[in-house]
Amino acid sequence: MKILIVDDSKTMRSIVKNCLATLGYSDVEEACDGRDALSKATACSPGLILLDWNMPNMNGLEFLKAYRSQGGKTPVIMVTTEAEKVRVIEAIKAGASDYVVKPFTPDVLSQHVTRTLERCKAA
Amino acid sequence: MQPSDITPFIRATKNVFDTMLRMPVSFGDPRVVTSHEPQAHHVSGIIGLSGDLVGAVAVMFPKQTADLVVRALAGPSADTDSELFADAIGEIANMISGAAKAQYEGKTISISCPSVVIGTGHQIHQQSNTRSVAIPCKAGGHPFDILVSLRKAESVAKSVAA
Repeated sequence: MKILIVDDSKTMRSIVKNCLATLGYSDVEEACDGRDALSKATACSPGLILLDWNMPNMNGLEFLKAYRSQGGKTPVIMVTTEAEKVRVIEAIKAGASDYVVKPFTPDVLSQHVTRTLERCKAA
Repeated sequence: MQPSDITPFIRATKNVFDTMLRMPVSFGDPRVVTSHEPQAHHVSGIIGLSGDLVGAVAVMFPKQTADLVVRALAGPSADTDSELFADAIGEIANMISGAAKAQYEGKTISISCPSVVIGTGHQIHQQSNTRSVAIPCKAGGHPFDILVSLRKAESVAKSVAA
């Protein structure tokens, strides 16, 4: 299964990629902002999207709304510094499946990825 | 702003260094600074804040400390010449600012994408109507500073005064 990591920080993409590798997911596509993510999500049909919020050009929330409005059904986990409850609610309403606040430990991210994928399998 | 107003940034910095860098961090006494104090920093990650609070946060590192924290976050190959260097400094500033703003309950605050300045001895000038507080920090015994320059947005300040 391919996983799309969307973050404007190459460092953060690399950290997330390493976490996914420990879970056995090495088929990863990267996007540096929401606009890039929209075209890559269409092109590579990922099984999971890990999405930052604050990015240039098109932010994570704008991507999520656009992706869902185009019929995108892939589960999306927000991975972001935006920790306020109102932001979490906003993201869930826009179609986020789960939410991880930065900073995070590898264990926390792994648990959210595993839980989200298990929930999708069960559905 | 007073030195005591920066508690969220101290908590956030500790959280980021404990969680993402796995490095102990200690703090000295915060102090009010003027924008013209000479600095010995090599690289700074800067985040703008807008909304109910307006200003900027700069996380400023001497070269040796920057090398240390960048390697801790991005891996051993991320040295000063690496393309990851500025990116990692920006991400540290981003995480500290994001974790701090979440602690200002009831306030709506947005943060910008990070900017990174590299160059030994660079100075960061704040707006003249904004007080700046510097938090001296040490990571693994190596010094760095966090400069917090915040004020209430004018509309918020007026409604509080009314």
